[in-house]
Amino acid sequence: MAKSKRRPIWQATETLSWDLWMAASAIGLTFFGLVMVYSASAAAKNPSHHLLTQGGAALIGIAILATLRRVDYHFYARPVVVYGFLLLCILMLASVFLFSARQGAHRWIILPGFSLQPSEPAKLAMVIFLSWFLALRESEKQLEDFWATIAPAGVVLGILSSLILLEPDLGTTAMLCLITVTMLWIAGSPLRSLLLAAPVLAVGLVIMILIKPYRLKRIYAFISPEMDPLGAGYNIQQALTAIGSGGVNGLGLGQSRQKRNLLPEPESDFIFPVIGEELGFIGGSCLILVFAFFLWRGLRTAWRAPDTVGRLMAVGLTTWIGAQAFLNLSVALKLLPTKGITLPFISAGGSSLIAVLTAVGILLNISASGSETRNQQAEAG
Amino acid sequence: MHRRLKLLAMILFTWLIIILWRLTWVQVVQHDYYAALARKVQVDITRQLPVRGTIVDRDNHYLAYTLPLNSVYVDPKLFRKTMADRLRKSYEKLKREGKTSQTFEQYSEQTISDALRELAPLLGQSEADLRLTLSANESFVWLKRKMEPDAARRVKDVIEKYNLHGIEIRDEAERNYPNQELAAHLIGYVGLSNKGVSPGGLDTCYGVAGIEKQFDNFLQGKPGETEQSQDGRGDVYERRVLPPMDGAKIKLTIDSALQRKVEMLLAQAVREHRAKGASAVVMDPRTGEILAMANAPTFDPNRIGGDVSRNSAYLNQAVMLPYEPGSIFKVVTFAAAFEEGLITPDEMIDCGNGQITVGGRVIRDTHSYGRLTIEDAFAKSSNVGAIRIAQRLGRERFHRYIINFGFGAPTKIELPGEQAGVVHPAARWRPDSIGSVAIGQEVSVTLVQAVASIAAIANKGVLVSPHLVSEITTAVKGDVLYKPTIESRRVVSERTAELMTRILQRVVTDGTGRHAVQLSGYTAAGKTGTPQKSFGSAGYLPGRYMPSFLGFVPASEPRYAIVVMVDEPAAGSYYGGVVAAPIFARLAEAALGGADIAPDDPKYRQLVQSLQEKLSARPTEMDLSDGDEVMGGGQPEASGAMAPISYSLPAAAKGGEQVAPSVGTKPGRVEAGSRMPDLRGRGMRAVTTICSGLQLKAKIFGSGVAVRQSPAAGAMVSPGGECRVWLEQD
Repeated sequence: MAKSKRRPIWQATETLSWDLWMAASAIGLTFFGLVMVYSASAAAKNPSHHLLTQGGAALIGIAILATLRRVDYHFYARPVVVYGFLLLCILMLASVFLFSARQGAHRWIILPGFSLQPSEPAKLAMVIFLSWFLALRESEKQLEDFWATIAPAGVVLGILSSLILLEPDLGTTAMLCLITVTMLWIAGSPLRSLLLAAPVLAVGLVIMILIKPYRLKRIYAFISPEMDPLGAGYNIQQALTAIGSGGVNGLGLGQSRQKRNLLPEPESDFIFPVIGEELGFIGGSCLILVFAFFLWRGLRTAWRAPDTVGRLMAVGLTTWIGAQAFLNLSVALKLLPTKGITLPFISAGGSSLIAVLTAVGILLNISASGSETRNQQAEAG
Repeated sequence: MHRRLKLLAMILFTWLIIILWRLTWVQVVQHDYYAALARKVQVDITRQLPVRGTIVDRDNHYLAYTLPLNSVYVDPKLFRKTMADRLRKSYEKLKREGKTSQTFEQYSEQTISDALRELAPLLGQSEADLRLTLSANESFVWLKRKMEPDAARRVKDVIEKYNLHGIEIRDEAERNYPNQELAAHLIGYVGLSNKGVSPGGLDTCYGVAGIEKQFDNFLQGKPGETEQSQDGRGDVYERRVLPPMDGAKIKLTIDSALQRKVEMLLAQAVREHRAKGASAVVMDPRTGEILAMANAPTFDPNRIGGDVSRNSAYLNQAVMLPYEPGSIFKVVTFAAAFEEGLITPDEMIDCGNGQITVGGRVIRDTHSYGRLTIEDAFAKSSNVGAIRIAQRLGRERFHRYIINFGFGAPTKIELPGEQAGVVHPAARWRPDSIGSVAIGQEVSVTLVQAVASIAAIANKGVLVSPHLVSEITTAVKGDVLYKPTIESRRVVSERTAELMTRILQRVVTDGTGRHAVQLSGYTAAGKTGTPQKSFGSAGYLPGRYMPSFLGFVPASEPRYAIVVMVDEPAAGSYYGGVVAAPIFARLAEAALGGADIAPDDPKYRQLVQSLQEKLSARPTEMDLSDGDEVMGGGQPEASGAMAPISYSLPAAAKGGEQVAPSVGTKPGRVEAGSRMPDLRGRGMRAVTTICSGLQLKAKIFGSGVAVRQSPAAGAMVSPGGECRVWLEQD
């Protein structure tokens, strides 16, 4: 149904209404993130290091966002782009092993001046691939066919996630699986076909735990962090202490005490505890509500999307950003076991921020197309 | 597709709600828990002990003070565990630098023995003992308690030199009462708070009795606190230092010299009369200041032991044990009747030949009298007379005066455990109650209440609330923190007070107190009492009396209101006029002589005059350079020459079975009463503090710690004496 509507890649017209609210919340979160990253890294040896890289990434990201909101999203839904992007990501993911490890993990392509985390664009590539592929299968009425739909999607997911798992990066792998399953389900794959894939995932998880026993420790730590506050449960205990000691009003911006070498990675995975400690329940809940608001605008975009590609793409991107945010918050609040997942827009990490802002750029274009469709429908009616 | 999209939205929304609920739980509901946890992780708090406040008498002599000392303890388990690591590290460093050729075992053994060799003498232990202690399977062992801060500093130097871990020094104060038993019931004593048992805590004294208890929060002071905020690596990024605030200084109204005299007299009386105990209170009627308050037996607050709750020596009977006052209570009966205009001193009253029936009960006098003047009825302590007068008053009016004189309610003196005594409401009096109350039965009073009531008569009818604390000031600056609120109220008119003084004097000149209360040069006013001891429902037991005397001196211009009570004398005589009155007399003389008050007895003045005339006629016979010695009780020939007036003759000279002890002490000269403590091992500062506490002039030779002293430990020393102490470096 969508194919007939192909338009020029570059939409010159400004008459289309786009989702200003979504753009505002995304950019607002980005700037808030800059402030918090600076505050969280204040106790570090080089306090402005993270602020500068994050600021640079924010500028690039916003420029990309502003550009992509004018690029028709159908541009991505063609085999050349999809496979090219996928191939690029696989190559980059493979090449991380050529570079030296940081904190025991090969996650970065380290170039002079900056470094790149290919698992971030990989998430974007996966969403684009799936929305194109699933829309194609839907038009061929083969969505319910396990071998035609779920198996090929699983292969692509398998390639990407096994590379990421090897880094190792369990958090991003989990995100990738979550995005895939959600998109398959939304596209209309029968639940029982999806359930067939569950044992495969379970076996994979068990193997992962067997390879790296510290993961089991993390799960124990999740169950009772108080048992051993300086051992495996240390991180989560420090995070809860930070959030809890913030109280309703917080200690004030910049006043976090837990960020002083008590919280691990206070500017990245555990930035929410710093926010909770400094800005209290008021600041923390406001942040969560802004994420919820962004999520709502994303789902609204999917709802109003003019075609299946747009809808799936919007669902995939929204799920990625929303679920990642909720996962990060759930870990910080000890609702889920500890794993390295960053808070989109906020956590320090240039690749992540640029990838997320790129996603928002695409979402904005879909939302504008949705409005256009409605306008056209209104005119027709 | 839209249906599933809705479902997705609902799933995400549910997730959102769970996150928000969890955030509320952690951050709002459990905030206090996590805030405390955060403090524990982030802040390291060390506390410094404040020095407990001193208690001084009215002339700023120390009654209680605290010496700041240090104690050393070790956690042997921790010591062994951490020392192994530390030695290993330093050994490896030396090895790397090629500075040692020893094996690790040799190195650690040598280091430890070097350290112990230096440490052992400082702790007063042998090296072997110390080694044994360090190998104990314990987590807390005292190495040395209460050592001088200087010595503790040397221990610390050794600890730092050898980088020892697990041996710690902490503040531990020592409370001293330099005058031993002096005013023990007033000062009270301290106990050690059990909070101090943990190695990180502080040993804080808390008051258990007396002023120590009553004003514990003033004396405590506030511990100092050093709060260090540490980051995850243990580096300090914030430090807040709050120095300790030493406890306040409490100044009592007590006159130590007089207090000492009172205690001596009471102890002597208990011995002499084989009594269970004795108590006395001396108060300034003009100000309400308690100048002395004592009970025998007493205790040494430096040595608290045994079952304190069962030992009556620890009780301040003067405020804690109300008793049936007996005849001294007739003061209230007569004062009320004078005030109401119901009697005049010269009026005749029928004493019913020593017998009266009240509400069906027959009450008798010791001696039967027919008709007496009111004055004589009081002076001879006629029960019948007093009851007749009380009947004129009626129970309502009488009760009002009793309450007005301060009975039945605590005086609010600054001592813990004060009792109110019992005064039944008038409505509950039985028909015979008026007869009992009139002569001091069916009521119970404390000695403080009694002395306050007689002080009201002495103070021209105005009752001033008794108090013991003159002021409480901060230790360093002397800012006043507390001043007693002194209440005064008129109880009877000035006229009534004058009439009462007249009949009270009559007791001493012609009445029940005439044999005992003969002061050299001063007039006195007072009332005897010989109540039988009441044992509650068991009633009165034969032969158990509490002879009392209540009065003031000088009668013309009262300066001292005094009450004396002896509990169950068992050596024969038990009359108030025989047992209690002589103590009153000697106490009064000591007080008057000590304060250098001009004699007011007109007969005495005549005597002095005639003596001077005779001396001017025969100037060779006597040396008059010390006039007061001539008049003193120890010169019977001098007063004997002046017959018929015999001021200083012992009461025994006047016959009767009353053998009052001779008034041998020269008025005003108070005996010394403190034992010299052992100063050995004390530092310079402690020595000077202890000596000034004993009111001794300290002469110190050398430096270091005390090794020799004069007077020797245990010797009696008197205030104003000299104390020589030789110090040596150890």
